[in-house]
Amino acid sequence: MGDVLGGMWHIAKNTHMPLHPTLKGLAVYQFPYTISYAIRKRIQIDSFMELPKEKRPPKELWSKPKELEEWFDRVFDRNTQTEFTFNIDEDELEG
Amino acid sequence: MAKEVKLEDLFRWNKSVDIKDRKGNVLKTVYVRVAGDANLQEAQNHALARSRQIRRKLRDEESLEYKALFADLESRSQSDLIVGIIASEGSKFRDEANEELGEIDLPDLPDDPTLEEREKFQEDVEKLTNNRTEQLQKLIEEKMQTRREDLNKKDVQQLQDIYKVARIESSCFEVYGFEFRSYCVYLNVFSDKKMAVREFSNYDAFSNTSSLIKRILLESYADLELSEEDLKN
Repeated sequence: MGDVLGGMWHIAKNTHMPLHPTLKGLAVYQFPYTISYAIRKRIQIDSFMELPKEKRPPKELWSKPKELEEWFDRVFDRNTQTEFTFNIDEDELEG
Repeated sequence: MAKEVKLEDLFRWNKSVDIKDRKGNVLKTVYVRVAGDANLQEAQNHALARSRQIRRKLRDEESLEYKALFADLESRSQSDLIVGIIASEGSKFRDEANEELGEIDLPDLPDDPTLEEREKFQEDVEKLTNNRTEQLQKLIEEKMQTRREDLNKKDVQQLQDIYKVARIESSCFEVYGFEFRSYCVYLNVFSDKKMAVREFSNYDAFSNTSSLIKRILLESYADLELSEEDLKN
């Protein structure tokens, strides 16, 4: 179901057409939660697929936000850079 | 065999429901739809408040609710208490087993697969899904057995204490679930086809309606809703 919905979602987004006739006239916040959940999930999966294969989180982590965050921290080395160096030209300092 | 969820099921999110009398005459037609995200939040807040309220009452030994729930506590035998505890903790075993098993690790379908590779992939997915269902059931039974053995070592007083905690927890869980579903239904039953006018002016009006009508509406709503498991697929 996910792949087909993903394809439909992309077409709808790019053509500004309603995703489905039954949703015509509805604001996004009025979408049935089942549909918004499936779309959110699809967007999430698409964003993972844009990553290089080795950085894509394994499927078992997809619905675990904490583990997912830890995965990204690890593969993107997000927590290791704790020191920053700025080169300052003393002549540019005021005072 | 795992149930296959079709895309059209996702887009079948509203329907008309005929309310009939005992003779089958249509008294009224209403329109039911699946809740939106904002509705879910509202229903969740309502259900949490009700669950909190009932938990407070069930912890008060003087309350009517406590007396009703634990009226037979003293007369329950050791084995009866164990059965009651295991039954009340049922959803916990399922959650733990699900967590331990994790998601199904599907094989990779090669880029540009041949028809035969797709057939094989479909077969593998079915096998893995069915295996997981069997493993899940086995793991739940193992967990229940471990818990049973652990409870067998306790004396009656200890079992009564555990029973009370487990029953309060499961009662609150039931209240939460029922109130959540009921509130979603109350917010999503309309008297017009455009689904702009709510059938019930407030939640009390829904609660006080006949139990037969409520049952019809709850079942109609459930029929439209896909489970979380279905949505993940």
